[in-house]
Amino acid sequence: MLQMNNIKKVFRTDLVETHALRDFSLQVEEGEFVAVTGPSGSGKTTFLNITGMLETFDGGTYMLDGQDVKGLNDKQRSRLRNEKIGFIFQSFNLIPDLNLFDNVDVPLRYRGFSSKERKQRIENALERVGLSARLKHLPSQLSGGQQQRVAIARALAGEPRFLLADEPTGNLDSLMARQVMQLLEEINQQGTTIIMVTHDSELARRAHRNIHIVDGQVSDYQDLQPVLEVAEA
Amino acid sequence: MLEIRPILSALSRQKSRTLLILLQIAITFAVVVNSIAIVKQRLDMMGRATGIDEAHLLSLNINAIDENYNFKQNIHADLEMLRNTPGVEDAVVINQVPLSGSGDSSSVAASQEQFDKFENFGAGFFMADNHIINTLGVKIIEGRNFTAEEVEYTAARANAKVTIITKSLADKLFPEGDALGKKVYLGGDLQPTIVGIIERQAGSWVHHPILFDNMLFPIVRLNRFHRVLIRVKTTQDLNRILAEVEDKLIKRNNQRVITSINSMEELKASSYSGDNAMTKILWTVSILLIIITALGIVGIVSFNVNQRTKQIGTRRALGAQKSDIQKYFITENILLTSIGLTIGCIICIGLNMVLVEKYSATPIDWQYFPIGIGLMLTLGILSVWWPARKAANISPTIATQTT
Amino acid sequence: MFKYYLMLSWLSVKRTPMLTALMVLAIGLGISVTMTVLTVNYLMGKDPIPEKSHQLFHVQLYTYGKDRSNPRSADGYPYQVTYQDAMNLSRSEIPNRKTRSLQTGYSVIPSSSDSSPFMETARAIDSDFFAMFKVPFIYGGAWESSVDTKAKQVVVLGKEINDRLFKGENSVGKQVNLNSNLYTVVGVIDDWQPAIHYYDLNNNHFGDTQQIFVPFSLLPVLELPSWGNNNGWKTETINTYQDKLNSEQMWNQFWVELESPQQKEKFQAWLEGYVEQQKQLGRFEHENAGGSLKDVVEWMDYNNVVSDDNTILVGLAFMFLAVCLINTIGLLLAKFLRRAPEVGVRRALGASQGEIFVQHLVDVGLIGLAGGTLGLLLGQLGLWGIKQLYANYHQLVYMDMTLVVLAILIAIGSSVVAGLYPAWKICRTNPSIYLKIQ
Ligand SMILES: Nc1ncnc2c1ncn2[C@@H]1O[C@H](COP(=O)(O)OP(=O)(O)O)[C@@H](O)[C@H]1O
Ligand SMILES: [Mg+2]
Repeated sequence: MLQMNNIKKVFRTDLVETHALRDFSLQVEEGEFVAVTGPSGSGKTTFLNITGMLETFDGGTYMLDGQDVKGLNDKQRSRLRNEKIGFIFQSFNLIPDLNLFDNVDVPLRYRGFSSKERKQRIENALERVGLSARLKHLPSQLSGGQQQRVAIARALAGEPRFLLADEPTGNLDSLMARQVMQLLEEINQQGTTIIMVTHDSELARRAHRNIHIVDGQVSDYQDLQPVLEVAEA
Repeated sequence: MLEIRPILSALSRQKSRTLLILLQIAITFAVVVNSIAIVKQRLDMMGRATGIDEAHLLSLNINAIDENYNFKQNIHADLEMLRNTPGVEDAVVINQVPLSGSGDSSSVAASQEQFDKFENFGAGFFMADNHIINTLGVKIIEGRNFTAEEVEYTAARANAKVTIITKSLADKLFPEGDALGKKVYLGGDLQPTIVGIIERQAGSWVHHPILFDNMLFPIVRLNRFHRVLIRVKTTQDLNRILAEVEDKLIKRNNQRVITSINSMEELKASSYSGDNAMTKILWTVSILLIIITALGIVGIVSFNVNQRTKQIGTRRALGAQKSDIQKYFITENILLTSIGLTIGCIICIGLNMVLVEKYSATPIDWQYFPIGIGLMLTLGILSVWWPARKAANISPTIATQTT
Repeated sequence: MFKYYLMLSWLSVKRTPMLTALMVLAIGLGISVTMTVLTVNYLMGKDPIPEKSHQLFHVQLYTYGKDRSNPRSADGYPYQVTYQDAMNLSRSEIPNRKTRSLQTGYSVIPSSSDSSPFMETARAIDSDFFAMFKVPFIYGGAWESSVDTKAKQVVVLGKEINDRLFKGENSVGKQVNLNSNLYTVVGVIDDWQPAIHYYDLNNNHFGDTQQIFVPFSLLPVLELPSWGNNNGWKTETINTYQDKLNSEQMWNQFWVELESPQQKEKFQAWLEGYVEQQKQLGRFEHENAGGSLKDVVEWMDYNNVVSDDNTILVGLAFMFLAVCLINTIGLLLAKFLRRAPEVGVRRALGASQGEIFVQHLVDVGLIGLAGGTLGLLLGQLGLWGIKQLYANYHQLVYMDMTLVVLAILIAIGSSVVAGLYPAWKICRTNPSIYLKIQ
């Protein structure tokens, strides 16, 4: 379970202060599939980064599985992230020098699994995304959709409780986008909580719940359709 | 149009990398300029005119073994034999050999009063017969040579009545320039009269300030151990005599051991070996340093080019010409080098001050700065040329490709 | 995990071979130049007899007349002592051991008529010399201490000359013809080659040691000539050897062995007394008149055994190393920062800052290791070059254990210094900026 109360995040540069999140409160239950929408620059990525503990925040409280994140040091946060959270990005972010096997291996290495267990998990994860035949391929030898599936496999290999996806279909054509979405739904059905930022209203509607962020806050609008139209224009 | 402002802002965004290049250029400049200055100083020192016929001189030591060795007779016989050897110009028995690093020196003053007040000068003492002028190959510019009658053969301390001194010493003793005919005071009753002045003659210790302050006396010391200096006519003669002189001397009288047969060139090289080594080491270090710095610049700039491929492609797509791109990197480099050299000049002067203060180096001539600056700028431009060209050749289509 | 990091390092080497080669070269050159120069400097300045260097003292006396001093020494003292002072000093009962010393030389006349005479430098000393400077014997030993006062024609030979004259056999009791005088061999010493002739710094500091040692007491008897420096300051008429012995000329050296600070103090006091006594006799007229004791290390410093040129080179070598390291830091920063997006991904997947830091340190360590190895190899080349340049350094220039350890430490230190900042910088970068769409 994930609970944020009055989270505040300010980016300070020489010139301006940007309030990326202000009084941001949200609760996500075990097994939910939450879609996050909102205009560009509204704070969606910031929210996701804070959720994944990649970014610190300036105020409020954030409890992850009953643990207060604020007091943790980098090592503890990394550990928590490694065990409980999987990340998927719009630009896939596979490591170009590593083949598929080694890419999926990355989080498992930091987890400290034995090599046998790692092998097992990597093979399972890649099989789940339908790419077990291409262990030795480099990312550049795959299509975009395939790369994203590898990224999903990498996120799943450690069996995280939460999967954070930042516009996972943004770089894909609609067919591939639907395949990826289908995969995420399967994963969700098997118990993983998913928080997905997306611009695609059709995909957003397939989630259990939609959250709309405007100007760093959860918006009260229930009817998302018109806002999304504006955002994409 | 030089785009200095965008360059500066790009540099300021990678402060540590910029600072590192600046430091590298600055230290390289300081070390190279100081090294070149030291090398130049040493080369000048080694290249000083010695006034003697260096290329045609050789020396050796004779150590008599026989208890009843007749010194005077043997010296006469040796010299006669040597002087009559084909290819030999002249030869003397002498107490010390120029540039060899060992010999005699003493104090000399222009008056007894000055001598007593220690207002005297150090000078090298050379003792040989009247062939010494011709053997050394030095030039008398005032006065005359010793006569054969003036030459004294003695085992004890000789009381020379006449002396020939170098101009350098004469100028110190008698700044008026009227040394010829004057007496000099060497302590006690030693008060020889100057009968000749030599233009220039190097003494024995090449690193001593009195190297060119020397006095000659018409004295042949009758010692068990004595040195012989031989002047030959040509370099071929030199090698031949070097090879055969020991046999000749031993054949004439075998009751002695001949040692240290060396050409003047060898003696000189050995006296200057430290300086020679120093110049070579400094050259090596400087060249390696320049190579390292140049490669460093090539490495960093290539890297920046790779890093900015997309950016450069976009610029090209937006209308920048190849030459604009190349100019950008070269300008950036000139800018960096110039700032680095400004810091470098300060470090360089500081380093030189330390060297002068603590290690008796000479202050750097101002000419080295423009030379060093020119060198470093050229080096910088040469190093950046290749990566800058690579950058200029980046295709504008990169801009539209997705990675 | 370490193996994983190694694998990652290897991948990064493969991705940027030129850059890696450049860094290895920079570190290698920096280390080799520094090591070469440092080796020479270290070996020159190294304590040649650490176990007793603080018990051996070279004695100096300020025998000059008014207004005279030694312009070349730091405290104006002359480097050597007169014969009469050497004789008087050796009368003190305070030191455990003491020796007068003079460099002289002989023509050695081999007994077999087919080998010709040759010249050898020699050292005239007292019997204590061998024990004081820990000279190792193969056969026999030093002469009786009575010989130091009652001269006898005895000799201690070096191994080399014993090999030459006696084919390496035990020659104790046999005779050697030196300058047409017969000397009886009492001992043969083993190869004794201190890198620096610290027992006599008036003459060549480096090179081969003497092969012939004779009693100092023979000086007045056989009128042994000085083959070293003779420094005078006074106008004196010296016609005979006896004149020289009586003169104020300085051409002898004197060493004492004093075990404790108390003993040193006692001897120092005795020296002051001696100077006072000589003043009464009309000598030591200078206001600074006194005696000075310098132990081996002080004596070497005083004589600038490590020359200015060497010190300058050490300074320049470290600046060279600095440039090489700065170079490497710049290249590493570039290399690491290019990897920032990958680091961002790793952080997102659960790597802590510490793990990222260690990963990059392993990277740096590999480069340092390669650079260090290259540096040691090139350093050997550098030392070879030094030997070519300085003819009499051949005894001097070699790498001992300390130096090898030092070289490794410098290599490790250099790469850590070069790598620490870039590794720290990369592990501190905020991962989220690198995870965005490019
Ligand atoms: N590292 C940063 N430094 C400064 N401002 C930032 C940074 N990251 C995000 N922002 C600002 O915070 C706001 C929210 O950004 P973000 O969360 O990326 O929006 P979204 O993902 O919804 O498009 C934006 O105004 C953006 O400019
Ligand atoms: Mg975003």
